[in-house]
Amino acid sequence: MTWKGLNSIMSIILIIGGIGYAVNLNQSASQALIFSSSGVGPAYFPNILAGLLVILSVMTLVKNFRDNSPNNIEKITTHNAGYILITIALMVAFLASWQFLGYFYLNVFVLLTILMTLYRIEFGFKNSLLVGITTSVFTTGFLYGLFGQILALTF
Amino acid sequence: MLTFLTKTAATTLACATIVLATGTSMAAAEGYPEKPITWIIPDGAGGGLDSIVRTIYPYVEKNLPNDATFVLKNQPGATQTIAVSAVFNAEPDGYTIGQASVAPLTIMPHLGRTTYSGYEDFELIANVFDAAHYIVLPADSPFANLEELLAHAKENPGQVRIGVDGVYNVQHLPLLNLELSADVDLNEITYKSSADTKKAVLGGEIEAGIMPSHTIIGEYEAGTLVPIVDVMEIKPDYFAEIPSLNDLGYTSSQLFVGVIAPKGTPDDIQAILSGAIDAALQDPELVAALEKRKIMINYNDSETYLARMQELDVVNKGILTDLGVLK
Amino acid sequence: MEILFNDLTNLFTLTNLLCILLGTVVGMVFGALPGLGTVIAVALLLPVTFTLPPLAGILMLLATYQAGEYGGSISAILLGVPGTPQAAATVLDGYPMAQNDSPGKALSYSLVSSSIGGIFGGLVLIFVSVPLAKFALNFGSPEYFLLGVIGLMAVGLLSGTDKIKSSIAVVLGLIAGTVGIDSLTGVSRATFNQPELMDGVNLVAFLVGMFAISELFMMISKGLNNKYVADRSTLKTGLTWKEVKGIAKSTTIGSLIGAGTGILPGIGGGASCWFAYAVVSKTSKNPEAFGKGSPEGIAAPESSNNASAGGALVPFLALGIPGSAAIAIIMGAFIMHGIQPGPNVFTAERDLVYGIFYGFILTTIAMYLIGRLLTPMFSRVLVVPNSFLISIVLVLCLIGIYASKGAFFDLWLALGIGILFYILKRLNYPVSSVIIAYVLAPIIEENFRRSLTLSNGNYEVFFSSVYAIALVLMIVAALAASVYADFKKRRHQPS
Repeated sequence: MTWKGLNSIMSIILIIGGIGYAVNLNQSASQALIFSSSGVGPAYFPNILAGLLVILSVMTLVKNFRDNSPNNIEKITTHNAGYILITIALMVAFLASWQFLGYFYLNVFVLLTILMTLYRIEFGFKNSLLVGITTSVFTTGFLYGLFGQILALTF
Repeated sequence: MLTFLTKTAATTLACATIVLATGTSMAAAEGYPEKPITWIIPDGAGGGLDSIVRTIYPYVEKNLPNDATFVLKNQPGATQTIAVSAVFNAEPDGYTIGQASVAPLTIMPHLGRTTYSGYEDFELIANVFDAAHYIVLPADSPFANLEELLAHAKENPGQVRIGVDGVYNVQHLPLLNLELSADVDLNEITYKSSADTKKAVLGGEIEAGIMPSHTIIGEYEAGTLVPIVDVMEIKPDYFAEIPSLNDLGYTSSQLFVGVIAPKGTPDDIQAILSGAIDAALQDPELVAALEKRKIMINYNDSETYLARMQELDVVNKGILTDLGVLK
Repeated sequence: MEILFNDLTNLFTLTNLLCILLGTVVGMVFGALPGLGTVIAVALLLPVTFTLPPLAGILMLLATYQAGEYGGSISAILLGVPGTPQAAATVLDGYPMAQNDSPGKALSYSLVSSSIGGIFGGLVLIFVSVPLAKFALNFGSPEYFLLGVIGLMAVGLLSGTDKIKSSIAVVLGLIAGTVGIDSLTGVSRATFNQPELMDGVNLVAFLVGMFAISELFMMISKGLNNKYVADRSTLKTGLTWKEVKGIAKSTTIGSLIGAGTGILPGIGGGASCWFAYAVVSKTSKNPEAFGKGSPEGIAAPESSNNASAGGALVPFLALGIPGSAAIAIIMGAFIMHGIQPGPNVFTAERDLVYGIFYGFILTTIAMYLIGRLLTPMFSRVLVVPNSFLISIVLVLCLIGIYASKGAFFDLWLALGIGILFYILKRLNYPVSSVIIAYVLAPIIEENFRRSLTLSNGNYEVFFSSVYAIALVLMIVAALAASVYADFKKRRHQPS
């Protein structure tokens, strides 16, 4: 994708977001029972903000549409894009597993081990797994000691 | 053969389970608690209610059998309804209890903001303490008492401004009720917290404000703030001479905070918990600690707690119906 | 001046000094860990203080609070991830200086100016707290609204190159600040029926998602087995006398602004560092250096956020009005010991109050000394390869979000915000101003509407006091100045 493409998509997302916010807002605001004597109700400012967001995003969209400079039509390159996506996927898996299954510290250990093994894979699988496990054991142990024992937080 | 064996085993197990299950209501308490009990606090770590529960829980542990321990879990937010919903969704096995004030049980359900339908969806274990909130005037106020304030408001509708710390809450509803029964129109000004209300009264922005009793002792002694009437039923001893709304012929509200459990928690476990809370609240050490912090200990057993809750629920529901807010 | 000759033997006890040291270390470390921050550090230490004598316990929490304010800047400078909202302005110059020049120097500028700000705040507390607290009461709802507007204008002054995208960033922050139950009418706004959104977007989730999670993705892009710093000599801390003199003016301005806004409950630290940054960047001799690692750009917000910590104690002690979440928790420690902050505390608890006053100065000194000791260790974090740093910071962030409210919803929210803001950052939306817009949104909106309710709809309420008129004049003057500057720039361009 080009910068121009991503810029357009973002502007469209912001426009949709602004409209969605305004719709949800006015739905619940229509049920208001207290009316202030000033006429400035709960939806007054938010509606202005939603309007501003949409107008400004349309302006960005138009400006971006007309911008054909080499920078803007260049393809986006993201170094290590794969790693970013994998990190996001692992975070989703971690959060889901923690929320629905529990076992926080076990989840932390697994997440850290996978992340570190993956991030250091260029040093060879065995090496990075070993370093990953060692670091994870110490980090998880430290977290358990600090949060679980000293501060008595329950996760 | 193998299938048969497993089947028999399964049947025996099932029978055993049934026997055990029928026995629960009588013998669930035997050996209770076998594991830590989760106590859900509807306040963030370090908050006012959080620190009260943290002061109390070791004394309750001490009075429970089998070396009981509590695990405290903070789930603040949405006028305590997040924590109360968590209790609602928990297993009724005696291993989850929660702290709750009256707002999430007798106000929020009527506003349609909860997944549970009201206090009837819970077992009310015991009430722990009460709170008093006062209508407070600044020292230079032209009014000396509630009657003068209301008389002035009657002649000047909407001109007397009075601060509360939220809408449709434990301060706002009694105020609205007072306006209805005294037939006056006050201009209610909403602040984020009672501390903000206090600042506004001291700064002369509003004519009066509602504040919790323990936050104004210093100003009362220094003469900068004058509490004129308690909007709740119970009075703290340091303000004993100041009347409550009931004393003046209006209806007082109530603000009490107790321990609740999921509906269906076995009766004998409830009795154990209630007894332990009762015993804890009589421990001279805990009494001294809470008194130092101006907490009005008021233990109510399950029945009294329920009766008070029912009474308040009817009142609050009535106010919300009159306002046309009831969902 | 009898306060000067107060008996200080109560203060210099071993327990008190140890408590200050412990609080300082905990505050600094928690403040520096992204996602954890001052409020959580103070909340976690609160139960510890129950068993201590009142003065020791309170000093421990104050030390935590004070050191947390500096700690938040450590991660802002080293990783570009502010540990507290008050450190967001520090990112603007601290992060570039650490990246391009020297992380050790950047941290030293921050520590020196924080300490000076802290001492200034302490002196304000000792000498003028009672009159100042009375003065602060003059600022009611209309004045708060106007102050909020000025805050937003200060952010506007710092806008990036693309004016439209900067405006979008500010609007996004304001929108996030309006989510939740409207406190004036009880209407739920854009909560999409999520109870977790009723009290608004959780600040910690928002801050961590926006700064930390998106920055971690950036770090992955920069290379997983890179280190930030190859040349260890840049880790050296310490400033020369000449360097200290270079930030004298901005530190003075920052301290004054910090203490001045700190005394106003609710607006305090979060806004003061932006006020300070805006004023210093507009009056500096080298305005072009700002945003690229200017020492003055570090000193201004840093001195102001520590000065505002002292300022925030003024309304708290004198009126019993806590101005921030951290102070509200510290109030819990007072109440636990049966002490009610308020007008009587100065007479009824004389020894305690003066112990706190002088102890507050001690906490600043402790912050400086421990900062000197720990700063080289903190800056060594940058020698750790990214692969370790990213994994561990990620887990800490998630723990911090969960510890703040115990809601899984907030974790998912932070992840979503992190992804959104990563893309926004890549597209050159200036996101550092989003957080201050988020903080100011409720201050502006609620006080505007409350003012009109107070006056039954009469707009004259915004000119009803000298202070309000002065603030309106400031707004008009700032607007006129920026229009004039724009006009001048345009006239020069065509030629």
